[in-house]
Amino acid sequence: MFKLRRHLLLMAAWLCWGGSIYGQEVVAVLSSELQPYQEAHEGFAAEMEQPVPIVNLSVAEPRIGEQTRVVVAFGSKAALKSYPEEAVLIYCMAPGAMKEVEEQHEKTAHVDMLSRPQRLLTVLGEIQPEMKKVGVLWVVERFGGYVERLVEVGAELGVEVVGQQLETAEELPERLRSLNDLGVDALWVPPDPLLIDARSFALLKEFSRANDVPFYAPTAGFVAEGAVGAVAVSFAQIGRETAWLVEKGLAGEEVPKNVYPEACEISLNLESAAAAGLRIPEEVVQRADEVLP
Amino acid sequence: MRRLFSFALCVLQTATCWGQEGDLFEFFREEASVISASRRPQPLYRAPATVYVVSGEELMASGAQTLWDGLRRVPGVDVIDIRSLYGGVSIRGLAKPLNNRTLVLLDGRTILDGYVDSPNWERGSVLLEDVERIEVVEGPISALYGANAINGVINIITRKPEQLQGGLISAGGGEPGERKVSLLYGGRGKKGEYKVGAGWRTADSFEDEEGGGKIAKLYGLIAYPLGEEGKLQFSGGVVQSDLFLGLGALGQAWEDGRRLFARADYIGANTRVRMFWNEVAVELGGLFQSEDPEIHQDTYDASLEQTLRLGRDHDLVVGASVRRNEIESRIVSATHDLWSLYGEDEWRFARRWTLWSSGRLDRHPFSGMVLSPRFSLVFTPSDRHTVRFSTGSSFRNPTQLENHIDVLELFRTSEGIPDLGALVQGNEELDPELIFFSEVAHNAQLGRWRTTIALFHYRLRNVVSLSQPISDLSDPEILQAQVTFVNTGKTRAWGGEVGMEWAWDSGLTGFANYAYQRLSGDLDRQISLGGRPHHKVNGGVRVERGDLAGSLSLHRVGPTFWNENRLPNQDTWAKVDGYTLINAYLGYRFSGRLTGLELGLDGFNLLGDAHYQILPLENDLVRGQGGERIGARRTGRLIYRF
Repeated sequence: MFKLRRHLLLMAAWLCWGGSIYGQEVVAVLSSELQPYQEAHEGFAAEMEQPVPIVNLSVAEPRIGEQTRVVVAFGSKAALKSYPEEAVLIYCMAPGAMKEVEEQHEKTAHVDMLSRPQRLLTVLGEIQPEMKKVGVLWVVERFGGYVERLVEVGAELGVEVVGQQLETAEELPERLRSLNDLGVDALWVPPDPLLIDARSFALLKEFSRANDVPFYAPTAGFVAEGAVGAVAVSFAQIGRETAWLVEKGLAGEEVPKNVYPEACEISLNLESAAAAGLRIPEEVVQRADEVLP
Repeated sequence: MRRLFSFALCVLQTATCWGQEGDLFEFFREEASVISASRRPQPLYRAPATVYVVSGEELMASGAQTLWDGLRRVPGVDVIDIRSLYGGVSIRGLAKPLNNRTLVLLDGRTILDGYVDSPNWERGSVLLEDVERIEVVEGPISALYGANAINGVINIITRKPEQLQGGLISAGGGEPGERKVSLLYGGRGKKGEYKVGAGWRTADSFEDEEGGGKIAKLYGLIAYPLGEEGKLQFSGGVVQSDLFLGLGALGQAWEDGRRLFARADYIGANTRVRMFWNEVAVELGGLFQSEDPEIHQDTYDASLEQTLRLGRDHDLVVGASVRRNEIESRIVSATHDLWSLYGEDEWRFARRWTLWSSGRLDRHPFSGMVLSPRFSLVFTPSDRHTVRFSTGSSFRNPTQLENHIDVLELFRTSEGIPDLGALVQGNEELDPELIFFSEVAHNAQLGRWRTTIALFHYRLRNVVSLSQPISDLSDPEILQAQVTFVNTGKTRAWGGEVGMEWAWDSGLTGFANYAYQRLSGDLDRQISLGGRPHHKVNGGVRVERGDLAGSLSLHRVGPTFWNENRLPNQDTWAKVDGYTLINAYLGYRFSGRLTGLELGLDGFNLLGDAHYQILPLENDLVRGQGGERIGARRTGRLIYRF
């Protein structure tokens, strides 16, 4: 019922703008009505000084005129649509499709779902002060560069980062065993669409509990599903960062190809932490943005 | 205390979680759906061919001491233990000791010895402990892999340095005369990745202290990042072997020599360039009455592969390769220059339908051009089921021996009776063997269960075989028979496999499968129509509880018939009885101060049922297939990971 109402609202919003997105300087395109895209868009809309017309791809195809200077895409599907060549594409919530998007569009800027490597490792170290060796698994190629940066940062912080790229999510059980053999004492995965699904998440959770290796998720929502914690950028914050980038673009300033949002949130699940044999320091619990008992 | 973790978990949780997916999982699913397929390796059950995988862990936990024994569990695969350090593997029939109808690759590089196109299994630059997985692609697939992929491809994939992040030392021994040491070390440094492997193994024959052999190997790899997503990789290795072989109609021989390889790869996001050199320098002892031949064979190969994206649901892979095979020996001397062009197109033309079209054009200096097309239509009625229909053709070029061998063998007889002479000559007019196939398969991933059903039909043409002997009575001192290689006959084969794997809980997994195959028509005279079992059954369980791990497997192989290879060249067939193998493994992983140490006990043929899997050499005139009586093997090993 809720989805239907939201669907109708979006359709009404689109009809209100019907055709009038021609000539708009900035146009927002959502991949679908899924909640994560909605939350990011809400953060974006709240931060923009002027209302921005919106097209939801599950309702209609975008009809964007040559006058549009900036297209803001929420999700890979939206980012991979065809847009006027002169328009700058600023996109977010597309964690695995950077390569495809950059192949298709010349002028792009991406707001990442990842927080800065330094920030991620520092906070994980605060949640788990005994952490010495953290395992990282991923499938999509682009995360390899981020993991390399994690390795460098980890060396500075005295934390060894053991990264393993998988060919497919089917390798997950074997790679987890391999990480276990290597003696990792924490596990983190990036927001990798080719790795994360209900099945692999259940596997990561079970591994964490069976082997006393805390598992940290790439988004806060997974903490409620049983991950020990997350040091992640909220979807609304991603939207806000996207808005700031749009404002920069409109002001004629140069926009970077990829932006790691500055603000990230700490989410903790104390029950999962206990199940994984971890006792989180009280001061970290106190300053966490979300704590599940 | 950490607990061992098992594959079983992979499928255990699915049933409970799939019903609880919220928008977050849907978000990731939607994002995954737009990542181009060229960058998304296909799950096995959606592959455009019948593919089975034996993981390195399964290999080590099966008690197998050789790569070929680790493949026994795969439905449709024919494994022959010929001698303690020498075995043969074929797929869906057509098995023989010097099998040249299955392409065997090590990380994508051929490990077929170029002059006979037969794999050098135990003499390859790989340690058992370094195997990440073995992929077995069943059925003709020259359209992707080229010559010799007549009945399938076996690709041995080794561990990436990042998977090692440290090393291991393994030492073990047991019966018959088994001693083995392995060292593997790898990791990622500031500038790149590296890996080094070294091993030494010696074993007696199953029958006595003679007839086994020893093998030493050393290999390494270094890789440097190049650009954002590229990687430049160099590798090389040397294997020194001194062991007994069973060479089918040629009898048995002692091989002493080395195999070298050097390789350079560029691996980019959409581009792959590979160059390698394989060298075989061996002396074959005891094969001929006359002087032992020294064989020096080089293979130089270069290939380029490019992935092109033709829209969101359409990907094309194109490639080209060139190869030079050179051989120098007193029995054969030749140079072959070969080239090929190939392409594979994956087109998801509807939501649940994908058409894979591939084709390859290969040129051989004597056999000319061969075109190998292949089509697979894959229907995915639901996320967990696929139905596939595949059809096409595949081929094998004549080997350098079949094209160019020139050897006269003399067998001295008693006084007053003319000596026997056998003149074997190659034939440069040979056509390539061709196989036309069709296959229907269903694959499913159903929670704890994974199932496969495949049915196939083959038509094999231009089978290369030894000719009937032509007698030469011109010399009263020598009764000489002359043979050469000819294309002869047609063969039909049909059969199928049914297999399943399951996981009861996080530490108990199992598998069971059955394969049936039948051939009719004419075939290679070395192997006869009965030279493969009609029925094969495999089953096994693997248990992990705390620090203990174990496995038990059973393999039943039906009777076969083999050519006794009586000289002068009479086709007489002898039956090799069916046999049952029971293999087991028991392992313990130490903890506390001994963390990193593992003890393993392996048992092969636990019932001690001494049997032949192929015919033995009776004498100089009844050569059989060079097999030995296979007995039990019991070994122990200690592994330290650091």
